[in-house]
Amino acid sequence: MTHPALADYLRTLSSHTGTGMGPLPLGACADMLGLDGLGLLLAPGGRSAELVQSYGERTLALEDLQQVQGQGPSLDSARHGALMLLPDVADAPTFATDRWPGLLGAIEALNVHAVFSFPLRIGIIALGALTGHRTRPGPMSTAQLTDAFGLSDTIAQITIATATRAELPATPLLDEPGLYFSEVHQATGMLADQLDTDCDHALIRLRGHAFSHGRPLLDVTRDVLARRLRLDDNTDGPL
Amino acid sequence: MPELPREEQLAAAFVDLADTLVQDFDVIGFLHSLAEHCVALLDVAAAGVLLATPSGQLVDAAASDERTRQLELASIEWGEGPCRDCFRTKKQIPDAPLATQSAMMRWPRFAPRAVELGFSSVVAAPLRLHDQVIGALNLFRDRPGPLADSQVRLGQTPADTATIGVLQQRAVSEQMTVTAQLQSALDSRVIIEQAKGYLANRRGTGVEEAFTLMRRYARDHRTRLTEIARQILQGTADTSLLTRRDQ
Repeated sequence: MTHPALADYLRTLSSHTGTGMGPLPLGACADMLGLDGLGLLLAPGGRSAELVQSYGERTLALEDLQQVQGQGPSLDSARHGALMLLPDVADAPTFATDRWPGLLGAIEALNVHAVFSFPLRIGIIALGALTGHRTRPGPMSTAQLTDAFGLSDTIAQITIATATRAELPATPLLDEPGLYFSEVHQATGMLADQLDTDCDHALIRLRGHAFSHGRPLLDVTRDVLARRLRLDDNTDGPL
Repeated sequence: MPELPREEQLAAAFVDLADTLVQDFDVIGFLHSLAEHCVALLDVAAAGVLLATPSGQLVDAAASDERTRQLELASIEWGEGPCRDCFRTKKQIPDAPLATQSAMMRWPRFAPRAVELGFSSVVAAPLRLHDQVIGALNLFRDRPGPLADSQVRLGQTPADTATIGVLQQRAVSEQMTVTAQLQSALDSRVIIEQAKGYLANRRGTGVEEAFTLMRRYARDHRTRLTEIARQILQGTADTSLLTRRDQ
């Protein structure tokens, strides 16, 4: 039985006809799913995942951590269409500790104790993921899971429908609010020029620095953009 | 194929017609095999298929042999014939003898040509799933007497399978296209951000100032922002854009 309020949202969402995805009520959705935060990631064609909508004070940090490490439930869900349910991060199944070495402890350090990633997919095609978390451990109820599946399926449909209307260079889907990690890409471009390398390599250096110094990617990024940090002076240490 | 018993022929047709989720799927080739299976399975001399676009335009034909294909293509051009009527009405056209006055009235160009080719009667069945009709199937006989009802029903089965196959293939390729569009939208957003940072470093400016420059350059040169961004990152952009103000 779908939560009546969520059913309302789903109706509003699926009948949205304006540009863009329409205001996703992520806060209210999180409340109804019993979660403290929700993030929407897009990774069409299995590309790198971009956080495009975010609710909750820890969501950005949780996604930042996975970007730094290049691994995690959001990324597996977004890229491979896998459903990832971690009701207790401190007591995760072996597959999780094997698959993401070093990640779960860092998630706990953010005071996040339950993570749930729902793939956005249509058939076999993976588009992205909806990742929720809680500071309190514990499984989602069957009703909450049902609502979460309904929500992620609807978002996948809307994403597809919006993409067909999206005309470059204006892409309403990504314009509001846009890429949460846009500064990371700016810093990547800046580093590519400083290091005389390509953007792929520059991003690896940026992530490597954040990882080896145990800092969020966005912090390091802002230092690079403010010219407080250069990575070409060999003080960065081995990668 | 004629040596195989009917059940095995039918099974072979199903396997063939279910095999649509392969790379380089060719719809017309697929409908050709539907036509060939019909001739092998049924008491008919030839089979022809007309295919419509999702917007309802009849566009292409497949058939069990070349003369029938030519007849079907001509029927699209003339805008008349059993396949076209069947596609329009979404209903089966029961066995219609061709060398009659009523057939000549109904299809003044199609009927005489079909008779010329040696056909005596025709049945048309829609290729449909629920309310979606993607085309129609014609079954031609060259011997007197109508096609038995059981034969028509037997022909409808591979036609239904083929319809599902075509629709399935369309759905997958549509989603692939949309995913590619979405991916390219996301990619160009990322590339523009990267180019902002690259240009800011190159010119010793802030990121916003670099973006203003990029936009102005794109407008002045009537070039897309994504294209300018790509040129900046590949080092192929105009040197005036990449040079520091103080140099």
